[in-house]
Amino acid sequence: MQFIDPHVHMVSRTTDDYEAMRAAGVVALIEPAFWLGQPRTEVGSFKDYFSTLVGWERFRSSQFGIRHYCTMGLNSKEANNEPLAEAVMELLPLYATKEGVVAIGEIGYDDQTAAEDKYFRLQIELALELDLPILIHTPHRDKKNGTYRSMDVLEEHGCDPTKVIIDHCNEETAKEVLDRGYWTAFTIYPGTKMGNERMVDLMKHYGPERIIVDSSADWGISDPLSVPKTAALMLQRGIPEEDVKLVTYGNALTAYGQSGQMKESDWLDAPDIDRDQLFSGNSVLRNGRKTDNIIEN
Amino acid sequence: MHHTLHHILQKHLPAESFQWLESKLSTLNQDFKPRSFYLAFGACPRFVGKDEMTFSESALSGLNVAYPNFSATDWTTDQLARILLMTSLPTETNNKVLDNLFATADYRELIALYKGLYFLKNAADFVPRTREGLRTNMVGVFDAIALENPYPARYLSEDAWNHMVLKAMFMDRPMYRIYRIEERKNAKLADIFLDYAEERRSAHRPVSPELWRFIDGFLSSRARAALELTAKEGTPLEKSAAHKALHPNAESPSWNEIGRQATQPTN
Repeated sequence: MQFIDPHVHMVSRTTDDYEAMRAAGVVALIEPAFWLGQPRTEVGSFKDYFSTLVGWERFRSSQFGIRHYCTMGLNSKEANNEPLAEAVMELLPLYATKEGVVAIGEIGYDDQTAAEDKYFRLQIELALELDLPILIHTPHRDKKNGTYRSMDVLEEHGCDPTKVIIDHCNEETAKEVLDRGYWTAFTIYPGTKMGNERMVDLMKHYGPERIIVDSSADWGISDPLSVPKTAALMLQRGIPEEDVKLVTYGNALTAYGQSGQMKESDWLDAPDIDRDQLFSGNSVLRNGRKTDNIIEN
Repeated sequence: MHHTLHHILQKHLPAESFQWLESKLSTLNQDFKPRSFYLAFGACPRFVGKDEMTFSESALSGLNVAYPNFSATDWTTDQLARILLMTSLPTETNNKVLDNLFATADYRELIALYKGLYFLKNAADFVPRTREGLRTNMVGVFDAIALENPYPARYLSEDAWNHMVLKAMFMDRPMYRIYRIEERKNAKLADIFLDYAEERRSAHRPVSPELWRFIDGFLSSRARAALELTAKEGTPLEKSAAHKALHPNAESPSWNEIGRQATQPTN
């Protein structure tokens, strides 16, 4: 089976992860702009991070035969540094229109402060102006209220729920998010958030429509193989293959494909390019696969 | 604005796409704002597509005059549209405006930017940018500068040129596709490559048969020794390359032919 992991922070992952993901069938992934585990203090750090997402990381991913897309946005935590947030807002239009940018995100609330609310709304307006989907990060603390409030604000701005993905949903928030018409995404984290057993139960309850599974693997304990592993468990528990395919591939493609920046043909028609890049002898692979040549930097 | 490019795009693009490009150009001419330039540059693939272009003989000869070796690489509609936008910037400020774009560009944009520099009236001002670009580890971006592009041969100093050629060898690039690779060979480069060949021999690791091209014409006794060893112990292609360097007048395949064979994908 082929999979899309529509939420994974590859800048924090190793080449072992890329290899394992490819071997497990991941053909495309989306890397949402996020924070780095500690707050940035200069706008230049954002600029270089955004450039990495559309440049080096996209290239690095292609080396392993995985098509890389990203979302652009100012995350809610760092929205609380207002002078910095203002400067990042200036940068965003430049990056939001780049090729392969499939949404504005991940945006929303962390502590639900006034500053978070301000930059959340400004970025909703940017997404509407550029006609891009929106990826919503729902908070870990006070999740239910934070999730409902995010949807209220989106609706206040006139957003079409079919162009919004609400991520990090759980058993408590799923019903409301689905009922209000949004793409409903679940992060399968080892330990916290959603485990894959719970995901199977959710699938049995709600079916596959508008449901998306992702790993959100980052610099913390997380599993970049969450999507293929969850798919395997679903199949084992008797969920039909076509349903599994929707939640681990098709729905993400439909939701983010609305950007006009992500098409199935991007990876189905381009394997030769990737293979050529894979073996072309460069500093990511250090050529170990094919010859004994080592590239030193 | 580059008139040949403008003309070619007018002929190739569907009316709607060309109109989009024209409207962006006229906005930039009337009231130049870097932001409008960046947005137009970024949006090119969406509005003019990414189709590979084919050119008539007469169009090609015009383009080859403006840009030597133009016909050696593929060009897409978004690339040429982006380059046309670059050439519409006033030369007094284009360095600053493009610097910002280089710093924030995505993979595909970088390729168009580096392929387009030669078209600029003040192309010579972009040597530091080109040298910075050559530090990349993204193969496609490196290739956009180093392979078939007339910019390095015309504008890079000998040291900068040598750095580029060495890096191309380290990255296993097809050396024969570097424009004017033959004309810009030099004694210093031959020496560096000879050091490299010896270092690899000590490590029991092979070098590309294309390496000997850079020794050809600079036959020191040290070079001769290395070539004779290779002519004796190398693979058939290495032998052929070493023989060619040792006996420049003998009948043998061209360096380009050796290069093509050396870089054929092995399956």
